[in-house]
Order: sequence, then C-alpha cells, then structure tokens
Amino acid sequence: MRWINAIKDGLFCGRRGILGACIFYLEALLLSSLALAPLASGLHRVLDEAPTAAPLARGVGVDRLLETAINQPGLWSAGFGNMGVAFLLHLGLALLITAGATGLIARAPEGSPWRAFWREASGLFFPFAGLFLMSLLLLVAVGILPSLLVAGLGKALKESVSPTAFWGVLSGWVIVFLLLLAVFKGATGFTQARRALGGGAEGLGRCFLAGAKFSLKKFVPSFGFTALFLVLRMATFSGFYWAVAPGYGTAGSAFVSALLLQLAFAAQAYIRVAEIAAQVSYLKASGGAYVPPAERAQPPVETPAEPEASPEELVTA
Amino acid sequence: MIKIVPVVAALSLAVSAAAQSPPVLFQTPMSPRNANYTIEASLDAKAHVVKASEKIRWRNIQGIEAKDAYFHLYYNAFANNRSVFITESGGQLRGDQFDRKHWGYCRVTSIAQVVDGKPVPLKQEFPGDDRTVMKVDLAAPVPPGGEAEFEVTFEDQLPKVFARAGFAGDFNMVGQWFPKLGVWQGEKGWNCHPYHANSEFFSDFGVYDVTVTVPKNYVVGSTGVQWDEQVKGDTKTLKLHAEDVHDFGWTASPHFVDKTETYDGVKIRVLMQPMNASQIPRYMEAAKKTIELYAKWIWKYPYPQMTIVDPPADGMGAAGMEYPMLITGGTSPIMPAKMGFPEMVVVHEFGHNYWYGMEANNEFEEAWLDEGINSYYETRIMDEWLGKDDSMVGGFAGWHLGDVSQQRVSYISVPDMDPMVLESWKYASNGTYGAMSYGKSAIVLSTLEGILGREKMDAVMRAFFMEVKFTHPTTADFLRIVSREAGRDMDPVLKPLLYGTGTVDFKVARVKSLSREEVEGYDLTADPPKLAGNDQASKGKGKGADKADKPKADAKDTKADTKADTKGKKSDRVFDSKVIIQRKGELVLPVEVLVTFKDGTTKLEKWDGVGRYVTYKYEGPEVVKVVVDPDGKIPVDLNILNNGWASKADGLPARALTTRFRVVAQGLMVLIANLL
Repeated sequence: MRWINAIKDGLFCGRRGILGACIFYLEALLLSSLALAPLASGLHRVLDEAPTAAPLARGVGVDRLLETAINQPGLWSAGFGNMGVAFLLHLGLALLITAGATGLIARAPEGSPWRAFWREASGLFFPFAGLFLMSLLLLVAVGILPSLLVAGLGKALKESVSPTAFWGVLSGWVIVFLLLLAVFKGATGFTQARRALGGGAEGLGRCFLAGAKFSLKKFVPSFGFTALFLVLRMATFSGFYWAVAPGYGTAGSAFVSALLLQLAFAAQAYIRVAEIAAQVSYLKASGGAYVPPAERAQPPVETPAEPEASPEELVTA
Repeated sequence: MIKIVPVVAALSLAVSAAAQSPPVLFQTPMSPRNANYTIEASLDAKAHVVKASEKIRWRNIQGIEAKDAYFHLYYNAFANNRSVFITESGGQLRGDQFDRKHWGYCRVTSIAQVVDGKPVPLKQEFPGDDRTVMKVDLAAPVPPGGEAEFEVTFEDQLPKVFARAGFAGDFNMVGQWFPKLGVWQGEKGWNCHPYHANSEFFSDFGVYDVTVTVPKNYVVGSTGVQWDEQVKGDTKTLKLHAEDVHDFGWTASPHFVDKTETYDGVKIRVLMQPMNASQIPRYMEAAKKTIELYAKWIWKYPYPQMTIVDPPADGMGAAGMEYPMLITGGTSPIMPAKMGFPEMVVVHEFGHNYWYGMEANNEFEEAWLDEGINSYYETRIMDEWLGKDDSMVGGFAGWHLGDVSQQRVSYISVPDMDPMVLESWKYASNGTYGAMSYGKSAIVLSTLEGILGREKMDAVMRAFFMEVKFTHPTTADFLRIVSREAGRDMDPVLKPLLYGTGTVDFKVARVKSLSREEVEGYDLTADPPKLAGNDQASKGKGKGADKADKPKADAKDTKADTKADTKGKKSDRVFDSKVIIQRKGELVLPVEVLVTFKDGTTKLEKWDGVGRYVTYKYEGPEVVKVVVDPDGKIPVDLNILNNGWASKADGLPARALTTRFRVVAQGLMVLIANLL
C-alpha cells in the first residue's frame, strides 16, 4: 500500500535524511546552549563554592533555588535574557533547515549533499515561509468551530462530576487536537513537498491550494502520518527520559542522563526528517506532485486518414 | 478512657437510635460546653436556601455580667460589595473569584431571649455597614455563672462557592451558616470581629444537635455523628449530634461516592466526587497516617468520626477547609501519584481538628497558633511518611520537593514585612498573612525543634496541647509553657521571631589557611648563632597563601626524592587556619559549624550567635570545607547557600541545573521545528 511504502521510505531515508537530522539536532543543541550560556556562567559563580548547593544537583532544595532569585535577581533575568531572541532566531533557522531537508530528499540533487542542502535551503526558504503562513490561515479557518466545541466541553466538564464525562471530554479534546494537528501538518507538509518536487514552476498560491486539497482529500493517511510520528516522538522521549535516565545525583549519573536526553533529541530530529520523507514519498506515489503543463499527458489527436488511392492512381503507379 | 470512647459512642448511637434521643459521645465533657446549639434546618436544593431555627443555651463563664450579646452572621460577607470581606479581598481569595451573579446572606428573621420561660424579642443592631456582626441588648443580663437561652429563626442564601462555603451545581457546602455567638471575655467584652478577608473563626465549645432536611437522594456529611434518619415523601430528615466542638459544618450532594473505613477506633468517611473516586485510597491513607502520628506525638484523636469531603471542580473554593470532625480536601482524577498535594491537604485539615478544633485559639487575632502549629505538624507527618525530600513532589520530572522546603519557599518570599503575631486584618496582604501564619510559623517551630531536639520538642508540644486544649490559649500561653517545659527561658529566641520582623542569616565570611613557614634566618639559641633551615636564604617564598602551597623541594633533593617525600611532607605540613562565621541577620540564635580538614577529620563548633561574628582558629591540616548548620536545624535561616564554603569548587549543581533548563529550551525548539 502506498502509505506503508511511504512510511518505509520515511524511516529509511538514507544519508540525505541523516544529514538533515544532524543539522536539525545540532542547531537546537547549539542555539539552546548558547542562549543559556549566561545562566550557566551565573550559576557556576554562585553555586560552585557553596557546598550547601549540593542537593540542587539531584533536583532537591527548590527553596535554595529561590534564594538565588531573591539574593541574585540579576542572575535569572540575565540568564534567560537571550531566550526570546534565541527562539526567534530558531524559528528562521528551523524553517531554513526544513527547506533544505525537504529539497534534498525531494529532488535528490547530485553532487555534495552538504552543498545541495544549503542550496535547496536558500532556494526554498521564502516559499516555505509563505506556505507555512498559508497553512496557519487554513488552520484558523478550519479550527474555529472545533475551538468553540472544545470551550463548550470545558465548561460542561467544570460543572460535571461524572468520571465518564471527565474522560469523555478529555478524549474529545485529544481527538480535536489531533484532527487539527493533522490538518495543519498535512497542509504544511504536502504543500512544501509539492513545492520542493515541482521547483518554482508553479505559483505559490496554486501550489498551496493544490497541496492543501491533496492533504484534505487524503485526510485519512495524512492523519495516520501525523499520529504515527507523534507517537514515535512521545515514545522516544519517554523511553529515554523516564525509563532510562538515572538522574543527576552524581557526576557520573548526570553525564549519563544528559547523554541519554541528547540521544532522545537526536532521535526526535531523525523522526522529523522521516516525516518529511514519508510525505514526499506519499505525494509522489499518489500523483499529488506538480506536473508541468508540457509533461502532462496530451489527449490523442485525431489525424485524418490518408485518402485511399484511386484505381487510376494505382494503375499509373 | 479514650480507648473506651469509640465503643461507648457506638453503643450510644445504637441505643439512641432506638430511644430517639441523641447519643452520649463523652461520659465526661472535655470542654466547658458553655455555648450549646440545637438547630433545625431545611435545604431548598433548587434555590440553595437554608431555612432554620436554633436554640442557643449560653453560660457566662466569666466573672462579669453580660448585658448584651454579639453574634456572627458570616454569610452576610457575601451579601453585597460593601461588606468588609468583599472590600478587603476585592472578590478574590486564594485564586478563586467571587461570582457576582450569586450573592449570599444570612438573615435573622427573629431573635428572642427566653426569660422566665417566655421568649422576649430582641432588637437587632448592626455596628457599621458590614452585617457580619449583629448585636442585641439582652432582655435579662446574664450574671457570672448564669445562663441565657436564645431562640433564633434565620434564613441563609448560599452564595456560589467562595471563601469556603456555598453551592456549586448540586453540591452544597454549608459552613459558618448559623448565627453564632462571639466569645464573651468579661472585662474585654465580646470578642466578635467582622468577617475579614484574611481571618478565620473563634467561638466557644458546646454540644450541637442539628436536624437537617434535604431531598431524599442527597448524601449528607457533617460535623458529629448521624444517629437517626427519617424519610418522608421526597425528603429525608437526619439527626446529627456533636459534643465538645465549637462549630458545625455540613455538606449535601446527590453525587457523593460514600466510602467508610475504621482505623484505630475512628470511623473515616470519605465523600468523594464520582470523577475523583480513584483518589479515595489517597485520602484514606492520609487520614490514617494523621491519626497514627498525632496519637504518637500529641494525643489520640478523641472523636469517633472524621468525614472528608471532596468538592467538585466548580466548587474548589470550598476545598482545603476544616470544621470539627469534617474537612474538605481537593484533588483531580489525573493528580500524579508522585505529587503529594491531596495527601498534604488531608493531613493539614485533619490536623486542624487538634489546633483550631480543640486548642481553639482566636484565629482572628493570632492565626499562627492554629495555622502555624498545624503547618509544622503537617511537615512532620508528610516528611516522616513520604520522605524529607519527596513529600510534596517525589521525583516528578526529576524534581523533588519536601514539605519543609515548601514552607521555606513561602517564608523567604516575604520574610520581613509583617510579624507572625498580628491581627489577621492588619497584614499587608493575603500573601504576607499566608507567609507568616503558615510558612514562617512552621519554619520557626522546625527551628525550635532543631534547638531543643526532637524528643524535647515533642514533650514541649504535648505538654502545651494537653494544658491548653479547650481553653482558647494565646501566644503568651505558648511562650510560658515552652520555656517551662524546655527548662530554660526561650523568650530571647522566640519572642523576636514571633513578634518581630527581624531575620536570621548566618554566613561563612572568611576562611584562610596559611602554611606555617619553615624556620629561616639565624638560630640565636646556638652559640655561635647559625643559620637555621636551608642554607639558601628564602627566595621569593610567599608569606602564605589562601590555599595549601605545593610543597617546595629542598635544593639538594632529587626529583625522585621530592616525589617520594612530597606525600610525607604534605601530611606533616602544618597550617594556621582561621574561620570567621558572621551573623548577618538581626536575630540571635545558637548554631553549629562543621569544619572539615584535609586529612578528613572534622570539628563541630557551637556558637551561641551572640556578637556579629565568631572566629575559630586551628593548627594542623588545612581547612577544606566549612558548613554552618550542617544538619539543617535552623531552617529559618534566610540564606542557606551562604552557609558553606569549600576549597574545591564543585560545578555539578550548576551543570545539573543548566542541563535541566537546556533540556526544556531544546525541547521547545524541537517542538517548533516539528510544526514548521
């Protein structure tokens, strides 16, 4: 089946996918580390020579953490001062990397994958930004009614005491959330894949309309992709963090925990790229890719039959 | 005597149900029983109105004749926006917003004093716009030892649940609902304050016989015990009885899941919202633990029953409240097992039955005597039961929070604006009221325990409780009894903490270890004088350093010898060390200081805290670590991070914290990337 093949193509997306995943992962790691460098510096200054800070390593002593906020108010404001800028920067970089990864996977250009990645990224950045914004508008348009439903459910839940009502409403919220997420992820993913596959031949508006129409027409597999990759993300993170992380009580356990968490984030990056690859593969296989007019199959042209030769022409010949 | 009580109560219930008279719960009264109430009430479940009549038998136990009487009408706090409560709170309490579409009131339709067997109507007077206090001039003054009987008819309009009481859907929490006498204090007059936003309650002990009529499908929980029930048509009438209590609250809802267990002779009844039924075991375990540990530390719970009520999501303003023998909890179906908040609420509210319930201090004027002592025992129970570091949050997402830490957080947020002992309406805000009455009070008592030791502290508090129960004690009583039982005057330690806004803060101000210099120059004891030590004059040898010098090799020694000798030389090297501990805070408390030396030995110093600083000097191995209050006996110390010094920096806490925050930032970035 097409969607199973697409998932296989996604999960085994090859070297290009791994390159995209590495760039995704490293960008988030480096940017978050840089943004929090002032916090790290401040905390070292305040805590390194204070043996009474030792419990903080194990996550114990929130009151002592509060002491730093009270006695060193500048530490925390300076420590988090860069976060706003970092997230804005990340928004742009993540979109750039998405463009690069999608272009690399969709077009499989020849030559150095590294160069190809950045070439595709720069070429597709602005179209992808436009497609993302258009998908947001679609989400708002589609999401108004479900949002009212969710708000109504919330009010009903507050006044109810029944456990059936509680779990029913909670399930309702989850389903509405998943549906809207699938609409949004389908729209962004398939329109971006269509653009990457088709190059710049198609206008952005047409590309969005065609891609969004495809994602809604194929809503069931689109929802399936969204749900599957969401489950993979949650399972990866939960598996590493809850089941395996030994905590931060000692230097050794802190190192192992930090390493395991980074492995989880690396896995998340790969899952992102796998999702892109699966959507590209499914779009191609289902005829959702843009086909230039010249290549579209022409209807058969009736050629007039050659007149049969007259008996005289045949005799003369 | 106490062990017999539950059996007697049970038998009494059985007998009384047959004989149509209330049971006897205590053969010997535990309290003065000078304010006794007989109330008949009927709930209109649709309109949320309670119509009732009450008979009050009051005895003057003071030495001065009473010519008037004051009553609390608490529900009038929610009658309009002119009440003291609404004015002070702005219609908000503990994050709950007052619903201005559902005001409430308590209207006294008639009040009379029974004189010579005949009811004489009394005129109602209301001092001021706030009608939460009603005054009547008595038709017949009551001499010392004399009695007065009042007949009152009244009507309550329950507000939408706010500030502990009201309705939410079909749920009704009927607390502070009846006209209740203030406390006659003789020369000081009647103690009957308006209902302030920060305050709670104060009243005299007695026997309560309450009859409530509700729709027959409603489940009722209340103070006291139920000893009779009659169904008639669409309603049912329940008879409820309580002895040696100073308040009576009740609740009614058709939805309660009703579960009862008995533990150590106490019937624990949980009335749970169906949605939260999975949390029943948590409430039960918390109640059992409270019964067990209070019996061990203070006194066995004397009453036959405790009812725990779980308010609905829309009625959380009624959560976390106490009445004699009835408390309200608060939870949700998805409350993680590692978060101990439901347990904490039950332990806290149950504990109130000792302090608010039996000690019964004036919560208007000295809230800490109830809230603070109760919070201290809450931390004791939670930490003993669930672990010192895990009692509130037990490793949820890698974070841990103990109850003492939680109380410290409350205290150190606003440590010096208001004192612990203060009339509740005089606090700067609800925040400082909470920080002082709960947080600081609990921490101060934990500090007292640190100073006296656990065993002595238990003896002191047990003696305090046993002496003051049912007597409306004050802070002065607390100070007197603590000093007496501790065997020394604790006023210099406690009074500044209770009455002042000064803080405690110890700090390791300075640590210096200087390597004792080898002898240089002439040895003048020799004849003729000769150069001592190395032949080489001291060249560029420093006068010492803050940290240990690396051993300097003798010029004649080989490298190998130096290496071999180094160990021996290091261990022999003598340091002159100086440790200065500073008292930065204004308050003087005794404190311990643990000094650790390079060879692993330690020395525990004890400082009485007098003077701005103390200096300790040592000869021997260098000092590598100093910790003030190593066992955490002085949690009232405002800044624990400056209590330590180490020669070797440990970057692990900073690294671990940064990693935690980076994981969150990185996770958010991954989330954003997934959506683009």
